[in-house]
This record gives sequence, C-alpha cells and structure tokens, in this order.
Amino acid sequence: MGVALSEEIVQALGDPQAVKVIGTVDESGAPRLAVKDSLRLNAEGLLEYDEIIETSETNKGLIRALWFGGSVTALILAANKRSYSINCRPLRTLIAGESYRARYRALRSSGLDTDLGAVWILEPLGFQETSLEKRRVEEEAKHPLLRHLDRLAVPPSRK
Amino acid sequence: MARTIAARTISAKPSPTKALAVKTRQANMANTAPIGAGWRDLEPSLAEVGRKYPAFPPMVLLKTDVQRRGVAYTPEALAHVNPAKHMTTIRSNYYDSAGAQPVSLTLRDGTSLYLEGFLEDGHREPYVVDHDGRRAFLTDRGEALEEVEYWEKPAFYDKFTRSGKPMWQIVSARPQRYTIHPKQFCDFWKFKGQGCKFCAMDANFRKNRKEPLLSVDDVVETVAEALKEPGASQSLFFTGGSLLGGKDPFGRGQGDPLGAELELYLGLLKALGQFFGNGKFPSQLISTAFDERGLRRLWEETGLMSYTADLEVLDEKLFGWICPGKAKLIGYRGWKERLVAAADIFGRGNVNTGLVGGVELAKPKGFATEDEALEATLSEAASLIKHGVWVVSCVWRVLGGSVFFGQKTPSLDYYARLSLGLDGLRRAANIPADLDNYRRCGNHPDTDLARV
Repeated sequence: MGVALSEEIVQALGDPQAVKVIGTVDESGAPRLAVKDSLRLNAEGLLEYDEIIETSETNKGLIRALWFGGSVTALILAANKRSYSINCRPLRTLIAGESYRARYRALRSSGLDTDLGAVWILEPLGFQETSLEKRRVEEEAKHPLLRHLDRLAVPPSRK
Repeated sequence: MARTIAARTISAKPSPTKALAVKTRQANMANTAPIGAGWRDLEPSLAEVGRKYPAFPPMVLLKTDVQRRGVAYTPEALAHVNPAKHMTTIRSNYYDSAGAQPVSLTLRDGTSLYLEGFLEDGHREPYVVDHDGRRAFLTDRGEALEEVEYWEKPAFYDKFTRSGKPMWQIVSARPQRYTIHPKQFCDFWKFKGQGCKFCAMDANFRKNRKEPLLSVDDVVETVAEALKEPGASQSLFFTGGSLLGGKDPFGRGQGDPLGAELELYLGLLKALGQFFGNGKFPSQLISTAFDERGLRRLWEETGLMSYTADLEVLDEKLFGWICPGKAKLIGYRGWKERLVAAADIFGRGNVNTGLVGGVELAKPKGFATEDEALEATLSEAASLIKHGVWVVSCVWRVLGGSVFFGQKTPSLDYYARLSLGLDGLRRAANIPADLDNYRRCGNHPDTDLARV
C-alpha cells in the first residue's frame, strides 16, 4: 500500500540521529509542525509514530485529515544533512488493542513516565529529496533564467 | 472509499428478543410504520445528510447511523471472529451475550461503534458487516463503506474470580474503559409502571437470571487483575440500576430512599481506592441523582472524579411520562438541582447528564416534529450548561423488552443536528469533553466531534 520509499529515506527513518517532523494544518488552515522522534517504517512499508499528547494540534490535524480526506507531510533531516519530504495520507489511528498496547509497553519500559495518546499509521503517497544541494542543482538545470548575472560574468579580455 | 463486495446472503436473522410488555408493545406498534422496502424513501440517506452537513465528520455520521440501524453479520464476517482475541461476551445493564458475534466495532479513526449486540431497530435494514479475507467492512446494499475492527477482549476476560465467577461478568470492557455494573436490576421496576420506558434492564435481568448485586470482593479481585494489563484502560465507570431503600421509597418520612445506593458506591469506590494510593483516579459514576450530602461524601471520601445522573429527556412533561419513577422520586426540577449541586462539588466540566437521544419523539406523547424536539432539547441543554452541567446524548436503541419496543427512532438528520447542537453548546461554554469523550465512553456522537 502506498509508494515504496527510497533506501536513503528508509535508512534515515531508522537512524535515531535523524530529525523527524510531522506537518499538519489546523482548522484555520495554519500549518503546524512538530518533531516526532518516534516516526518509523513498519513491516508493511507504512509510516508509524507514537502520538504522546492526545490533545496535540498534530493529533487533531491528523484526525481532520483522516476524516475529510486530507494529507500531511513528514519531513526528515538525516544525519548527513540530506532532507526528504514525504506526502502522506493518515490511514488509521490505534487507541486500543494489542498493537497499541505493545507500543505503550515499549514506551513505558524505555523509562519515560508518559501516556500514549495514539499510534498513527500513515500511507506514503509520494516523496522528494529536499536537500539544498540537490535542489540547487535541479533549480539551475530547470530554470536557467533564474540566476544573477554576476555569477556568469567573466572578466573582459585585455587587448 | 467505496468498494463493492459481491452481494452475499445475510446470515439468518437472530430471533428477536421477546418483549415482556406485549400489550404495550402492540399499542406502540400501532403508531409506527412497519418495516418495508420503502423506508429509505421516507428519510434522508447517509450520503444526503453528509452532503447537507459537510463539516460533520463522515465517520462519526456513519457511527451514528450504525447505532440507529444496527448491524447484521455475514457468515464470512462471523468466520473471522476469533473468540481467543475478540470480545464476544458481555454482561451489562441491558444486554448479556456469550455468543459468537463481536460485541462492538471500531472504525479506522478509533471511533467506537458501540452496539452492545444491538442488531436491528425493526424499521430499517441494518448495516451489514462483511469480510473480504483480509479486513472486515461495514456495507450497505453490498457497497463497502468503511473498514471496521472487532473489539479485542482484555486478558482478564478469560479468568475467574476465587468465587468462581467469570471476570467478564464482573467488569465489562470497552476499548479504553472498564465498567462496573454493581446492581444489575433497577428497583423502579419493582413498582408497577415506574420503570423508564426505553429501558430493557428489567427484561434483561429476568431473561438472564442474574444476581442482583455484584460482590465487592469479586469486583476488587477483577479490577486487580485488569490493572495488570498496561495500556488497556484509561477510566473506571460505575453504573447500574437504581437501588431504592425502604418499603415505599416514594413515601414521605421514610429516610433517604437512595441511602443504600450511595453506600453501595461509596463502599466500592473506597475498596478500589487502594489501587490508586487512595487518591483521585479517572472515574465516573452514573447513578440516581444523589442529594448534596451524598454528592459531597462521594467527592470527599473517594477517588471519584466525575459524576453523571441521567435526565434521559430534557422536558419536564416527557420526563414524567418516560421516566415516571425518577419523576415521582425526585422530580425533573429536583434532578436538575442535584446536577447543579454536583457541578459545584465536582467542578465545572466534571458533571454532565445523559440523554437517550430521540426518545423525546416517542409516540404518542413525544414532540410532534423533529424541529420542535430539537429546539426544546437544545434550549434546555443551554440552560443546564450555564450552571456547569453539560449534556451528552446517545442514539436511542429501541431494545427488546422495553416498554417502547417497536417505536421508530428519528432520522439521521435529526441526530446530526442534535450532535452539532450539543457540541456547539459545550464548546461555547469552553468545557472539555474529557469526561465522556470518544474513548472514555464511545457512545456519544456529539463528544466524538470534540476530537478536533
């Protein structure tokens, strides 16, 4: 289900040094971003994360997207500074049952005195690398008119 | 998401539960339309109501309609029920089952389709749960509408107390809530004509030959076992039939007719307090409306955090007709006063009252139109919320064994407007729905809206 993520993204998702962010929109349409360290790939190739705060804006944004057919964005900044944006569809949320309880137990046994609002399952719909160098090269190849002249200027030759 | 599953023969319909009040049922049926193929032409469809209220979450609207129409299961759906994993047994106030079908269902967004075995309303075809080999789906006329999951049972459900009772009969579970029904029978039914007309507690009690009171030891032992499963529950609810003391609880000078019920819950709550360091714990008591003295004792002497005493219907005349015992014992205004007192004691947001949504239109004495019913209900709800008592509603399931068996519930459009209205009142009053939200109760479409 969904698109298969690239090997670089899969590696970044498994790297605890990577920074992982989920972006949603609130009811006014304002973007909301939150770091979600627990974002991971599950056995079915879907994204998953543990939403600790039941009333968080991210949780609400995901519910809204699930209810009304919207999408959300996951942004990953790998340890090598390469970044990736994944467009996702919220597929389901777990608030009970054995899969939920397994994550609850894992969190509690990690030493965190925390509750677990939900486990979210997200279906990746598409992705792109958003690393600056890659985007810079792409931009110059695709839009050769969009650059400063001084970057192209050569000193006049002496006669 | 619309898929079509090939039409299958619906498994043989279970026998309808026999109504005890046959004469009353027949009288009511005279005022109701018989089920037939044309019922869909008489009211707006799920899709039509969804288009009319685009801001109403489609999954919550579907839940509302499922609770209104009930469900049937195909043989394929039942073949995928795993009694080792799924909840197929239940003992509650209104329904007992140790059968092969799921107790209730959950949607992809975590919304509970709280059914408690409710199969059909007798006037409309139920939704059908089918299975494609990988997942279960809710369908209507062969069209797959949404995936569903069967509720999973907690680990303690397979265990027995030292006294030999199955623990599922002592504490009943919802996805994130444990409910204790200490009194399985309502004493209003001991007095002719005093039981609530929508209620099937009396019929259920007699049919299943249950013991009227649970043993505190059994409850304590079961809760201890239940708490061994991390992440399985976020709240303890207590609810049961009214316990009326004295030979004539309605008579004057008899002492407090609710004294015994108060002591029952005080004893239980204190016994369970040991598990929470005798401090406050997420909990709700749904009881007959106690007076201020009783409410204060509950707050000060136990870990109870929230309180409900259900008015069932927000109209004094209809309350007197539908809940004659409650009206005779305490009265509509007296009940409201006690709720307001509870809000002062337990705190704003921690007290509400529940409605059997739609019963205000019961024939022959209910409101004549849905517009009238809605206006009256929301107006009264607004006045209650000013005093810190908010209102939740469930979808009236017309139960076999109730006096109202055979009645027809209102349209889905009505329930959508009712839910939006109640949600709007609660938001305007800035009261969170935590007490009875989608996972602590799961039986109220209006609080499902509170998730965003």
